[in-house]
Amino acid sequence: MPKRKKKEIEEEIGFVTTLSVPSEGSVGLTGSWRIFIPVLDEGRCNKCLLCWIYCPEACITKDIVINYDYCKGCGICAEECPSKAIAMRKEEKNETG
Amino acid sequence: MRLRDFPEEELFLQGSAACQGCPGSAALRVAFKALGRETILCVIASCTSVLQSPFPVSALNLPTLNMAFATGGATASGLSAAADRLVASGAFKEKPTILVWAGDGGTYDIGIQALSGAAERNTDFIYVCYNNEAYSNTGTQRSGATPYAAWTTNTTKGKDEWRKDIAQIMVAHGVPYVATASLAYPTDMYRKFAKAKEIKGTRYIEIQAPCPPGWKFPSSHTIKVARLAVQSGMWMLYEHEGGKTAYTAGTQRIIQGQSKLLPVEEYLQAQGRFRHLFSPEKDEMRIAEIQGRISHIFDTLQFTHKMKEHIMDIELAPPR
Ligand code: SF4
Ligand code: SF4
Ligand code: SF4
Repeated sequence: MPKRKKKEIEEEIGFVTTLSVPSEGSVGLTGSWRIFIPVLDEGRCNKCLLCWIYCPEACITKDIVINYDYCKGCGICAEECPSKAIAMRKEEKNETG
Repeated sequence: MRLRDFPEEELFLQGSAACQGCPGSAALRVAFKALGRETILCVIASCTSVLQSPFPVSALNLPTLNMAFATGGATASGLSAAADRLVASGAFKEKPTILVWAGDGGTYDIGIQALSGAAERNTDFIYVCYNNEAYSNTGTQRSGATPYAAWTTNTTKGKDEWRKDIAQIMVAHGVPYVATASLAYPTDMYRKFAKAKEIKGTRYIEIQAPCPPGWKFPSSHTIKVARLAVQSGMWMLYEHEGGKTAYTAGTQRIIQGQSKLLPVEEYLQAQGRFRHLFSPEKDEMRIAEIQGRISHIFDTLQFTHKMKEHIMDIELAPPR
């Protein structure tokens, strides 16, 4: 789901609302919180899906693609990967935009 | 249910205000997958009130009401009655799942009165306590769920009291379904939510939620600590329905002798909130006290399990 502005949604529904609107990136691009970045070695991945279900941020898709816009770099995916297909390494500044 | 059969749709959206490695968001993801879109969420003041992010946006892609600490059971009772009316009038085709999402502060301490009332009336809703064993979003004060000897900002030498067992208090209410869950066992958790969804009446699910800043461990260890809790017997997985308790997942494997009960020290040492038990000197007495309680429970359960097997043998033995 792309990030939607409140105004856009209000135009769509035709009235001003005091309700919160579900939106991705509700506190911005949380990838900027990251100090360590998870790097996937696809060759080692056996698609067990553990990283997908354990990522607290819902940042890994079912086909094991990491969304770096929002990945906070917690390291759970790397810690839990049974085939050591994910490594955490220190991120260079602005590496992923 | 295997992981690959879990729905792909995420009702917990990326880019929320949760801390790195937050157990609350991890629990929300699995719960939402099992319950689906036809759910109305009622969030009791807790970390979840914060991590859903500030107005005018929300990281929770479900209709959500935010409620005061003490009102979980009461709000759910109102929502449930309103939904029944809307179904009766034809405005709703089916009744949505009413889901209360509260922390341990809002459940063990402040919310228990309204929860108990709703449970006594067997109001139709699911109540979830994600138990991070402290008031984490206000900076980690002790709660009724904080375990014995754990550090919090107001138990700096370790808590003197043992935690109370709300899941068992809910069992005593005689509600149709009570279950405990762990983040480390997502298929077990998913199955429990999916089952609860199909039951009518008050259902209670409690998830142990190891919180990296509150428990003082690295954010990458959330799942590891949750798993150690089950493997060491500090958190037990079971479900209670129809007057019977069935142990599940890691806890069941220990009781049936397929895996070993880990020493509680391994669990305690994985967290900074128990550091005072190991340095400057090892507090053998308090560690032994904790281990003693756990060993007693597991010895009893293992004995009962063996006896049951034995009785089955007698019953099933062919006549001579
Ligand atoms: S580091 Fe944490 S937030 Fe990032 S993908 Fe891995 S589990 Fe998800
Ligand atoms: S946990 Fe590791 S092996 Fe499993 S799907 Fe993720 S990257 Fe692949
Ligand atoms: S304090 Fe703990 S439970 Fe609360 S948002 Fe942070 S990690 Fe999650």
